[in-house]
Amino acid sequence: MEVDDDAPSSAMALMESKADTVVLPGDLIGEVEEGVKLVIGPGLRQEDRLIFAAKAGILRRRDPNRYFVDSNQKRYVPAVGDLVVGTVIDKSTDLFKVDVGAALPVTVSSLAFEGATKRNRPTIGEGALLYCRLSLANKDMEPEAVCTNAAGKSAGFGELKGGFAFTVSLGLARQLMGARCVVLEQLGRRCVFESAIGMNGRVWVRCEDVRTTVVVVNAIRNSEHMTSAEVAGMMPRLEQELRSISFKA
Amino acid sequence: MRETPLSSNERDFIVECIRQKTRFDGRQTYDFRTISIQFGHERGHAEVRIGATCVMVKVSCELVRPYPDRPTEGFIQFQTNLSQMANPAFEMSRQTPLAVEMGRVIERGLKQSRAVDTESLCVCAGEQVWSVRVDMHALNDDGNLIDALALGSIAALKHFRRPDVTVLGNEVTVHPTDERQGIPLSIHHLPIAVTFAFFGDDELFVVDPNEREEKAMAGRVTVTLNPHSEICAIHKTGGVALPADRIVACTRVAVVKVSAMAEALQTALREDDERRKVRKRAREVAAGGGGGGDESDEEEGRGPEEDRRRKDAPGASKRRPGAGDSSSSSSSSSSSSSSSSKSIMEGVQPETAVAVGTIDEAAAEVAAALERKKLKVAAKRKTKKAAAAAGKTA
Repeated sequence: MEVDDDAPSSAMALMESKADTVVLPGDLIGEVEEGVKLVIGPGLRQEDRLIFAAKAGILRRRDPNRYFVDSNQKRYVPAVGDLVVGTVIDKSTDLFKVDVGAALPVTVSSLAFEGATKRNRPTIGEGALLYCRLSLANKDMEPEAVCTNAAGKSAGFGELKGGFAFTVSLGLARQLMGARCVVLEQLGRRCVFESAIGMNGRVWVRCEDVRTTVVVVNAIRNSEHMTSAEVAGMMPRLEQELRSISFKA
Repeated sequence: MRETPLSSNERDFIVECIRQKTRFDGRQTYDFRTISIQFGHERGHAEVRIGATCVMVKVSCELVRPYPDRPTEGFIQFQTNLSQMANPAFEMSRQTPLAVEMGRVIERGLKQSRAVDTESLCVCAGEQVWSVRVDMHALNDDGNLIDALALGSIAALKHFRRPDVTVLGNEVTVHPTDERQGIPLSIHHLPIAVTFAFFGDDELFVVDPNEREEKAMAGRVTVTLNPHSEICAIHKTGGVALPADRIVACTRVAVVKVSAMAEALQTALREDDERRKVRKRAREVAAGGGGGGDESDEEEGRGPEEDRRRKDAPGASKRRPGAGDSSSSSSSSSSSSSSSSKSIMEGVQPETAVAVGTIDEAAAEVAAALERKKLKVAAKRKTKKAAAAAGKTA
């Protein structure tokens, strides 16, 4: 399965064998070889030629040469490019201060919205929910975010109106954002809802009525520790709830 | 780490939910979350969970001088510890207004209603009285700390045993709890708190607010009552104007909740006592069969529940009527070597003085043997009664 080498090197074979096993911080994963291209993802750290695990979790490998540690936690550390749901805690003429659950609040400029100019600024009040994309995030500076995509269009970013927001663990948030999310798929077949998932663990959901929203929110929350089979098993009970809501309405 | 601020979307949603008589975690307006009461190894250690809110209360006591104008009254003090472990919003400074408020509500509910008898804490009038100290610790704040702390306090006070004392003139001897059974505090009734959260309109309220509802609420009413429907304290904070009949309606709801919680508390206390009995006997059996008979005898003769011999001379032991009668009347009693201090347990020990593998096996053996012995004594009592009746008629 190796890309360039004639024969699989022992160090790479060692790394491969560790894929899908549990690693703890400080575990030596492998050694970087000459001429081998390797992508080291989150949870791994390189020191000279050695690669160590920095987080507790499961070592995953994505073909052909990407490695990362799949771990779960609740505390969010901002990273560039992350899509987050935040609450506006302060506003001034030029900028909004948005809380995303990180150590520092994120700064969003008033001009970082589609169609915003110095004369025409967005009317977003304190306590509003904002879906934005982190443009600057390192451990030395206050993070910054924008509410547009790279082309300057809103593309779903901006203020989230109505609905309900709640917090989940970062692992569940990543799962919800994944391509095939069982619980969102199953829910989507049974009711109509809109959602915005933040990599910071904040999730926003909006449905037609309050009771459906409650059902959807609790379904998502409870699916944290469920396998796909268990999620499917949860659905009949959910259908019952949804049907009783439509009878009441 | 800071706590998550409440967005206006959440606030509007929570209020709308309540308007439609539902709550965002799926509960109904008057539903409490799951309550669990657990006791620790030491006496006076209680842990209460209401949903994810978790508190720990520890009761301790020491001998102090009473106030000169109240020479026969003991003290009971409450200390509230809200650390940042429970909620990042709690400051580490000495006593925040919230901690003081909670402590006062619970104190008023327990002291003003005279739930704990302070006169019974007197050891030597004017010289020494017991000062009971209730330390309440919030371990996790997911809303409604007051109810959890109040329930934990009364649970810990009921669970607590103070050391036994002997007073000879002015000399006070305190007997450590490993030498003599501790004595429960004299508690007249169980004050339990129920909190109602109001959201700006006196029609919109819920029982047992969780963390988000607490952030969204405009005001709060805490009603402390006992299972006899006697109000011990009412506390209202926040800026919501409430008509009197709303508060009366709250107390009516609280009556129902309190009787359920008191029931749960009594069950938890009973189960804890059972577990302690079984563990103690298992320890004694495992520690060496009948050899430990004499020391354990005094204690086995009365369980922790039935210790009423405070007023008697220390040497005299109170026997269960059944065992005493059987040993004095029937000569065929298997355990009648001396009639001075025979209890049910004495007869059990020789039977179970066999090598047992683990404490659990020993506990099971002891429990089974105890059952058998109980049945035997009951049968003996029946035959004795029949014999007496036959003797009278004859």
